[in-house]
Amino acid sequence: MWARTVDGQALTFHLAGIHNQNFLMRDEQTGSFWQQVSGRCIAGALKGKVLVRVHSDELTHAQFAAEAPQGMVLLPEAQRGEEDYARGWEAQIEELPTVVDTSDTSLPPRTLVAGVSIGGEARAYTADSLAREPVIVDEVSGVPVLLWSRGGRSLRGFVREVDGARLLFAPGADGTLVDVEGGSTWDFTGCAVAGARVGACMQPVQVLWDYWFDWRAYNPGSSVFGS
Amino acid sequence: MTRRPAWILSLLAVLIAVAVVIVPPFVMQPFRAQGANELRVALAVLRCAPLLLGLALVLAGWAVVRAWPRGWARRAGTLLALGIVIGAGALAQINIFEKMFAPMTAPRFAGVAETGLADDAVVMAVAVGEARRAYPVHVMAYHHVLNDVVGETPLVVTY
Repeated sequence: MWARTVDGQALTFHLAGIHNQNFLMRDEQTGSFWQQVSGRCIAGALKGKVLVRVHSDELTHAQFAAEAPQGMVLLPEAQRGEEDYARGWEAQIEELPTVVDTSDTSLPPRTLVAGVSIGGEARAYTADSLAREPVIVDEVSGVPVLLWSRGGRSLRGFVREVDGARLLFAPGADGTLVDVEGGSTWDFTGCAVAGARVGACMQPVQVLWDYWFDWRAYNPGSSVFGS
Repeated sequence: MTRRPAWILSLLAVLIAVAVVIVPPFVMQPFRAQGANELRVALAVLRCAPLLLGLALVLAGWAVVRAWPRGWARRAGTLLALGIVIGAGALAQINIFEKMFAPMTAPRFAGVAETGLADDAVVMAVAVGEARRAYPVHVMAYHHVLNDVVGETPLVVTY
């Protein structure tokens, strides 16, 4: 998700092309082409500009509804049916061929990974490893991070550092985490809801669910957690 | 300056117009790798399409003018070329990616209790100031690109 104001001008984007299975967008205002995964303008008057990322989380609808009771949810277009909004689309996509060579890595190209990129260092966490280990305490580019999975695709990333203290976590009650040193309780939004640090919130880290081949194409040096 | 026969102008016009229509979709086939140079060419063709098609139209029109006094056969040939150029110009207006995945021009939203979404449906959630919005993945996986405004902030949601 990106802010679409560039140099004071709000751009309107259209789907306009494909580059190694990642979409290109074109803006109406200047006709420039933008890479969807990186937000970078690759051709046209705005070439070299990069859109500013707006943090987003993939969550289950139930999780979103619980956290944001006043929140609004995009509706499908009424005239479109199952053939467009097909539920089985992910299974179908997994059958499609890929065009990026990942044979020098140990993961199959369509492995679903959660990617994190901090300070020029990228790391991929496979869906399987997140299912096995729903709370991952890690360090990327020297930044202490927490990856917290709530099952399926509900996943958040945080910088696990508050007031200069690096936090380690143990499971708490009702799906919360407890930081080992201070004993505060943290909920899935990354904020302390009880204990000495109550009211403090960890800084969110953008996590991108992606296929390994696509993540690696745009993060060629990416490591894989646990390997 | 030597006067070139009208059919050369017609042929040139047709080649330019057909290239404008064929090159970008040929390079950007979904299940084909795009090299950096060929992608650059395809995007340049798209960006220069109005200019190239204008040029092709002028050449094809000029060929018709040149051929007119020289008999019905030459008139018909250059007119056919002009027709092909106009047809290619019309085809070039079509964005095939938006034909496959139609843009959502008037997005509608509902409160979390009114969406009818399953509890385990995956959404992309965003917070801007006090505003909270969620975009179901199965909807975005079709449209791919959505221009939205959350709070006062213009956003583009991509999937």
